[in-house]
Amino acid sequence: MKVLYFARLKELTGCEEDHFDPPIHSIAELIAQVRRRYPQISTLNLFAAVNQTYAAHTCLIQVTDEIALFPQVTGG
Amino acid sequence: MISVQTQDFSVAEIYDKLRHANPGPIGAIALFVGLVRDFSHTLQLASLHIECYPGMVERELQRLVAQVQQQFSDVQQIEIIHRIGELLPQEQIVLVGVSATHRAEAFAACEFLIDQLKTTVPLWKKEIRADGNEYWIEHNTPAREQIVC
Repeated sequence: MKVLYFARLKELTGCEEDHFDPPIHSIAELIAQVRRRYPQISTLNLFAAVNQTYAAHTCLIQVTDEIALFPQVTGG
Repeated sequence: MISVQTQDFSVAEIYDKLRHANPGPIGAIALFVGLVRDFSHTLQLASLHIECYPGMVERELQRLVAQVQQQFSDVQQIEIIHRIGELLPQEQIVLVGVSATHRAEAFAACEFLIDQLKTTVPLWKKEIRADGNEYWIEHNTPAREQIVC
C-alpha cells in the first residue's frame, strides 16, 4: 500500500512516498503503523486524505486508493 | 478561477478580471492579498518555502469556490491565487478576490474564503532563517480537531 507524505512529515520520515504491507483496513491502522515505523513523529498531529479528500481516522481504505498523510495545513 | 503557481501575480490584472469578466450586476469588489511576514518576530526571516499537495490543493480550492457560490447568492465571480516555492519577505503569497452585487457579501465571502483556505487547503509554510535554521510553521490557525487522527 502506497502512502504519500508532505511537509514536516516528509522531512521527519525522510521520504515522500512510503509502502506498507496489506492488510491495512483503516486510516487509524495505517497511522498506527506509521508511528511505529517512525517514532520521531510522535508529537506530530497527522491528517489524512483518501483520493485527495480529507478522511477521518475511521475511514476504510483499499490498496488502490491514493492515500496521503500530512501535518496541519498552514497556507494563506 | 483558481491558480497555484510559483510566479508572482498582478493585483491590477485580477481586479480588471473581476470588474469586467462577469456580465452580472457588480456593485462591489473585495480583494485580500497576503504577504510574506516574519512569523518569528525577530526580523531574521531569509525566505519562506511553501509546499502543496498537488491535485488536492486544486480540489480543495474548487470545493471552497463551490461552497461560496452556494452560500452567498450575491457573489458573481471569485479569483484565488496561491503561490508555492521560495518567497522572500514582503512578497505576495495569496490573493482572494470576490465580486458581488453588494459590499456586505463581497466582504463576507472574501473573509470566508481566506479563513477556510488557511484551515483546509493542503499548503504548508517553512521559514528559512538568516542563520540557516529552518522551521515549519505549525499553528497559524486552529486545527481541524474533528479530523485529527
